[in-house]
Amino acid sequence: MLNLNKIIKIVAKSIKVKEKNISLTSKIGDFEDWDSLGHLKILSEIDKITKGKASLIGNLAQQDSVSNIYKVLKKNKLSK
Amino acid sequence: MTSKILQQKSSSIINKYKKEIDILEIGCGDGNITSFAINNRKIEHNFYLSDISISAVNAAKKKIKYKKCEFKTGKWLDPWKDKKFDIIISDVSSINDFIANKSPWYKGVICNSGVDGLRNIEKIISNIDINLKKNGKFILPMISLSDEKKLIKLLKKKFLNVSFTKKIIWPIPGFFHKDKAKYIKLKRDSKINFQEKFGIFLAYTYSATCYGTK
Repeated sequence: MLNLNKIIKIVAKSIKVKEKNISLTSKIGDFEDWDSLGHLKILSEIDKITKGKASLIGNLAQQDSVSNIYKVLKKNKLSK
Repeated sequence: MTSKILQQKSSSIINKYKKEIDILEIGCGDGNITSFAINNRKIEHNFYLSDISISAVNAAKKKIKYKKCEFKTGKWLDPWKDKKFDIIISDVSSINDFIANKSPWYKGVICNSGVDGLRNIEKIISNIDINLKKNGKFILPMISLSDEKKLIKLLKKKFLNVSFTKKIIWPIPGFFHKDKAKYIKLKRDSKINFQEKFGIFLAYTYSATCYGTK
């Protein structure tokens, strides 16, 4: 199961920034590569790890920050 | 997204030529594909651009100040009747025209690409021999918002060699949600293809490079 640290790792890897630069408040637009395509990369990576369950969450794409992604995943029991 | 893919692909093919060649971009819009190729060229080439829209051609003229460039207005390959090219790049509208008209991508641009999105590209492919040199290459975008399977068939029927780049998945902007039922029907009829994931719609784009007409 995902946790906050793992989510931060996924975000950092997907948008090619160092993990130390990502925090709970990091959001779309904060980094050059965190645009709509970067966001899709993050979500697709989370989907891989959750074996396709994340893609079924109807409002996941609208979550524009690490904090919001984490909250929605937690609500859907895909993160602790 | 489509322009970016065509920019990269066209530029990498152009830069393989060691001699000066003639490159045509049809449906040039603001000329961003040719502009990218010019800015990243290794040697000098001759560039030709055309679009059905006068304002698009004017925008391209404004953007591109390269000496060896010629601009014309007209649809498909029509403005270039007496000229043969080493490379022809098509960025002519090739998505379902209902989507094209609803989208923010073609504001003020005539699409008329039909329900399968292929009306324009079919005409171009059928007349490509007139303008493509014997060993010339034809580069075009493949977009899932058109009848991709039909286009692949058309290309393989016309050309001996057809190769594709990797698919790039991208989120379709919000306008798509409004007419969801219509798009689902178009998908069911194999006119377009998309996926629904994470609460958004996803399409994909890649490019095709073709040579050796049959």
